[in-house]
Amino acid sequence: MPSQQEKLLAFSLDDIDRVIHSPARLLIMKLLYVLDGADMVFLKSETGLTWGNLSVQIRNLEDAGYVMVEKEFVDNKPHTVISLSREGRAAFSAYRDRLREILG
Amino acid sequence: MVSDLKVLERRVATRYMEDGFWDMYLGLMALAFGLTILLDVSYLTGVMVAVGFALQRTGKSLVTFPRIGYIKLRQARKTGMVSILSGVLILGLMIFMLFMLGDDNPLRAFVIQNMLFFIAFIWGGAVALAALSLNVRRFYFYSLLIFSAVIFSDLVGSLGLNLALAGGLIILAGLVVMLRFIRKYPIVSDQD
Repeated sequence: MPSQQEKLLAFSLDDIDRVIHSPARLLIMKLLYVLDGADMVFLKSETGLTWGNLSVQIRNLEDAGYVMVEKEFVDNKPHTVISLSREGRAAFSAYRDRLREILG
Repeated sequence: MVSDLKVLERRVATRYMEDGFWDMYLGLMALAFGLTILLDVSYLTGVMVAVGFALQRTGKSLVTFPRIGYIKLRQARKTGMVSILSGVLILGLMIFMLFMLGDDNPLRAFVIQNMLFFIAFIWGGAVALAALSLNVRRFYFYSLLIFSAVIFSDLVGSLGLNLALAGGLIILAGLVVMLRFIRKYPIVSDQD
C-alpha cells in the first residue's frame, strides 16, 4: 500500500508535461519563452543540438501545438521563425509551477 | 526560476550588442554632428544618420544573423528601450520649446547660458541609459567620452572637432568589437 507521500509524488510526476520534460525540448521552450521568436541558427547555437535533432524536437513541439513555425522575410531574406504559441506559453508556465511544487 | 528567465532574456539581448554595429552607429552620429558643425553643412547629419542606419541593418544581416541567429525580442523589452528614447526626445523637445518662449523668459536665458552642459547632459545621459538598459559596459565609456567632448569644448578644441574625434574613436572601438565578434562566433554551417 503506497504511503500518502508516495501517492502525492506519483500524482505530481504523472502531472508533469512529458513533451516539455525532455532536456532538449525544455531548453528550446525556455529560450522561446523569453523571446517573441527565433530562427534555427539561434536555437542551434544556444542549445548545441545537431540540425537533425533540433528539427525533430521542433516538430514534436509543433505537433503538440506548443510552437509555431512561420516563414518571414528579414531584410528581404526568407527566415524560418519559431515562436511559442499561446498554448505553449501556458504549458511552460504550468510546467514551471508544477516543478516548483515538486521540488519545494 | 523567474529571475533565471530574466537573466536569460537579458543575456540573449546583450549578445546582440556584441557585434559592435550599434557602437559604430553611435560613433557615426557623433561624427556626423561634429562634421556638420565644422563644415557648416546642415544636411550632412541627416544623410549620415540615414546611411549609418542602412549600414547597421545590412551589417546585422550579413555578419550577425548568420553567426548567432535572428531573434525577436519580447514586446516588454522593446517597450523599455522605446521609453528611454522617448524620454530623451521629450527632454530635447522641452529645451527646444524653451526657445519658442519670449526673450525675457529667465529659464530660456539659463538654458542658453548653459547650452553646452544641456547638450552634454542629454546626449551623454541617453548613452548612459542605453548602457544601463542593454547592460553593455563600454557604452558608459562612450557616454563619458561624448559628455567630455561637449563639456570641455570651451577649453580644448571646438564642439565640432571634439564631437568628430569622439565619434571617430567610438567607430574604431566598434570595429574592434566587431572583429572580436567575428572571431568568437564562426558562421553556423547548415550541415551537421
